[in-house]
Amino acid sequence: MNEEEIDNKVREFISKKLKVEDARLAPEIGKKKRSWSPGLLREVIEVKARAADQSMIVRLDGETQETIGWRYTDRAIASRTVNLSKEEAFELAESEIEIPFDAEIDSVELLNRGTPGKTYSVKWKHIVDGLEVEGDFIVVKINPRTGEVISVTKNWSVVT
Amino acid sequence: MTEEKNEIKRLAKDIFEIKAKLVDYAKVLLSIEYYLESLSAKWANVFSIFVKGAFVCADPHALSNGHLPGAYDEGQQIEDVLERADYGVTLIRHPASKDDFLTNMSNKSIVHLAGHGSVSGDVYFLFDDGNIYPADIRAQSSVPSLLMYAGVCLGGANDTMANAFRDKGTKYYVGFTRTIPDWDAKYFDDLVYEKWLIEGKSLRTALDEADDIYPALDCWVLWED
Repeated sequence: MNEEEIDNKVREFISKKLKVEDARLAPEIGKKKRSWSPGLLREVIEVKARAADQSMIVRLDGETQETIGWRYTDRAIASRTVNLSKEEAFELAESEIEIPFDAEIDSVELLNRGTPGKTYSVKWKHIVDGLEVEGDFIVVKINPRTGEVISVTKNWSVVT
Repeated sequence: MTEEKNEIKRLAKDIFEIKAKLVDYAKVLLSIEYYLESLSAKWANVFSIFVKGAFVCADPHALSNGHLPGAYDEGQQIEDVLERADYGVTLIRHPASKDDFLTNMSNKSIVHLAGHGSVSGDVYFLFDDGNIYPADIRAQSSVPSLLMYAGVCLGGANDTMANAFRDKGTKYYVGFTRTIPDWDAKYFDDLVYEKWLIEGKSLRTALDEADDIYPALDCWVLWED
């Protein structure tokens, strides 16, 4: 996949995520950075993009160009207070990303982030033939107060 | 046309003068920085937000032989990032006593500890000759003005240590609510500093983004204003 194809892929992804329907507001692709991620044990392409007054960071696998994570850095949604329960956080996380058939829920935690704020972390693990695939996970972070997804990270191996 | 040329000349002269003034201000700021460095510890701490000094303490072994190879490497790595961000860095690695830590912590903007920590009511840090408790921090005349990064197990298990630093004037305290693996901590901490000081993100965003790609350390807590 060349640079232009990567840009188009990110544009399409962001339009979908940020629900940009007006073609005139097509996402602008910003800074692109390739770096080795010790956490994900792979090269990651990090792309910043903006659509209208919203922005995101999208992470792609450096080798396969598969989308492996995203973070909403600036959203145009009106601020609201919903105070999500754990169950609601789980449901929201499930609706944000397609969960693979061999994923098993690991935990739904309300993490203390100090002053101010807390974050829901919904995690799945990868189970193959009853065994956990080490290092594989899907994590969806949610703001419990506003009920917004903050970020998604997927580290999922193909097990043969 | 001649009038326009004169106007341009006049503007160029103004710009030149402004530039010269900015250089003069920069010199004054620099001399203030040198002056602050020569002040007494107490007063220097008051103004230490202007002095970019950092202290990195890596791999104190604690009373038992608790060598942490990841923390040892982390010391060098964090020093490199801080230096790239124009901090003057003091780095000490094993052996590191309580006194080494408390003395070097004085008059710094940033203090980074990569080592052992625990909790027994209060959070405490472990050094080669004993432990440092929140009461020891409260007894200091100078604490880091910007950040105390407790890259140790359980350094954020509760707010006792964070409050000790923050009550004395530290703006940010980062700790972890659980035990943290040595090598994971090294990679995570480095990523945080890189995003914060080099990429210019806020400390909270830097922690959030590091956590996105390094969820093994998702138990971080940031106390801030």
